[in-house]
Amino acid sequence: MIEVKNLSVRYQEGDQAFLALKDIQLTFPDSGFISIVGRSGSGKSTLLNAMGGLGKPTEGAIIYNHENIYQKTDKELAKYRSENIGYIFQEFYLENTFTVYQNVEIALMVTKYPRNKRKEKIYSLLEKVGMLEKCNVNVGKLSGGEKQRVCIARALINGNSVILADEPCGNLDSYHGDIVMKLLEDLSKEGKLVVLVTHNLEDAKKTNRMIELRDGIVIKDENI
Amino acid sequence: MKIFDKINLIYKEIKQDKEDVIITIFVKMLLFSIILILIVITADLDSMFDRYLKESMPEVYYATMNNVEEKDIKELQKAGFYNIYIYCENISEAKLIYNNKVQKDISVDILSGEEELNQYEVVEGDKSYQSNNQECDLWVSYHLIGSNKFHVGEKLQLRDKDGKEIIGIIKGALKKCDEDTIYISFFSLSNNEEIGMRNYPYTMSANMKSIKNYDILKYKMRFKGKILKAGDLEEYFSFIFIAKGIFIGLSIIGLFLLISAINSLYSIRLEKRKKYIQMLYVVGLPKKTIKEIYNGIYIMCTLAAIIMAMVIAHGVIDYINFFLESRIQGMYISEKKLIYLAGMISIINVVLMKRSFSKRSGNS
Repeated sequence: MIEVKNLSVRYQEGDQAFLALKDIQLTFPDSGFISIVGRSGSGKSTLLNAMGGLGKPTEGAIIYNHENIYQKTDKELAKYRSENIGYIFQEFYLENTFTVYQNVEIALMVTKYPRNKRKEKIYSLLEKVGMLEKCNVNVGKLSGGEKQRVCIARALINGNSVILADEPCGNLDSYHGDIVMKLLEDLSKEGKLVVLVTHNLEDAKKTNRMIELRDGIVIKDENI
Repeated sequence: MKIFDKINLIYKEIKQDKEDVIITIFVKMLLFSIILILIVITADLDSMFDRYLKESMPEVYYATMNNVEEKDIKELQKAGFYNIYIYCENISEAKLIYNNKVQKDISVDILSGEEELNQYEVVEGDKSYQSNNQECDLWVSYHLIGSNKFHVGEKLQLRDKDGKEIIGIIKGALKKCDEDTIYISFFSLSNNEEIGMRNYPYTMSANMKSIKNYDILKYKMRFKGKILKAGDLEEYFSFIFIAKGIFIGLSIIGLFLLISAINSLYSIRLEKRKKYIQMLYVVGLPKKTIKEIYNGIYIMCTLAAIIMAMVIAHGVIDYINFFLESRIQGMYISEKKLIYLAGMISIINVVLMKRSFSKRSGNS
């Protein structure tokens, strides 16, 4: 379970301070398919980054397994990210000069997974996301949908129980977008917590619960 | 992350943008070579001229200095001066009173101290000397002892032009003396607070072993109010000083360019790889490990650049030496300092890089 407690995030833009999130209180269960919606600048990505240990809040806490993640050291926070959180971004965050295999392997390098067992694990996940045939292809040559599937494989490779997806279908056509959404849905059914940030209400309606943000405040939190 | 995986990522990072890595190494190699050559020449300028002048004009290796004090002698000896002779022109005004008569035909001279005393054969008495406010040690010409004019152990009265007096005790006779001269130990005089003779300006003349660091010594002495002059060598020193200044200036400019280039190249690289670094951070790599990967890349590029720069600098200096020696006998550059300099420069480099990466990782 992830608990967001009194979370506020303030950004400094020159002389002006901008409050991206204001005193957010939310609880996320161990599993489920939850969407966070809102206009641009409502604080969706900021909330997701805070939950994933990527951006220290100005006030408040993110509680995971009864621990405030922002009281951990840099090394412990990195471990939290590698072992518990899988990320999927709109811009993919893949290395174009690496192959599909190498991009997924990086996540296993981080957790010091034994080298002689990596191949089997990576192949199994690539097969699950339908990318096994292209495992030795440079990521730069893949389509958007294929890249996003590689991201999903990398997000799952360490058995991460939480998947944070920030506009995963933002750069995809509807066909590939649907494939990605289906994969995310299947993951939530497998017992993972999938948190989806989107401004696409059609995609949000495919989730079980929708949280709406406006100007850094939760204005709606309802089950679908 | 295991070391093998770190090396793997470093290798992939270098392979990812080979052109950028080659340009970085090339630029660093060029700047390192220039700086190495400049610094070696700057550091060796004194020796180069020393070798040249010793071959072509060995007779000019002497110097004079005014206002000499006892403490200056050791410093000059450390700087390679020898056959140091201290004299005082005015001391001839001191009068020797003997048997209540002024002995006009006896002159009084100053011994430069232990070194010069050691050049003389003491045929009677001993070489050790002492001094206090009222007495000092003297040595006399050998034939003055032989003629029974003076005796070892005898006390003589000396009076300077201002009327101050001191009792001199004849400690011995010196065989090498040509004139009828009484020698007073310089150190005896300089330790005597009350003696008017001590206030006379003493001058030194000495031979020089080499001209290395002469200019530094010269300005140090000038600061103390003493004029060190090396006669015919002075114009060469002016030239060396200007040449050193130019080379030091160029070395400093070169170092600034190198630092600037390092910072720029490193910043450009980090900016270019921002997304990749962000990706590594997101998948759970600690900042420390990311720094280690980029440190590794930086160290490899820098080492490669320095090794190549040393080879190039060696070659260039060999060529310069060939050119110099074919035209000016005795003038060449010593190359051994290159190795130590390369080590120093690489250490400075690594320190600068660490600071640059720390700043950027703080910003990102």
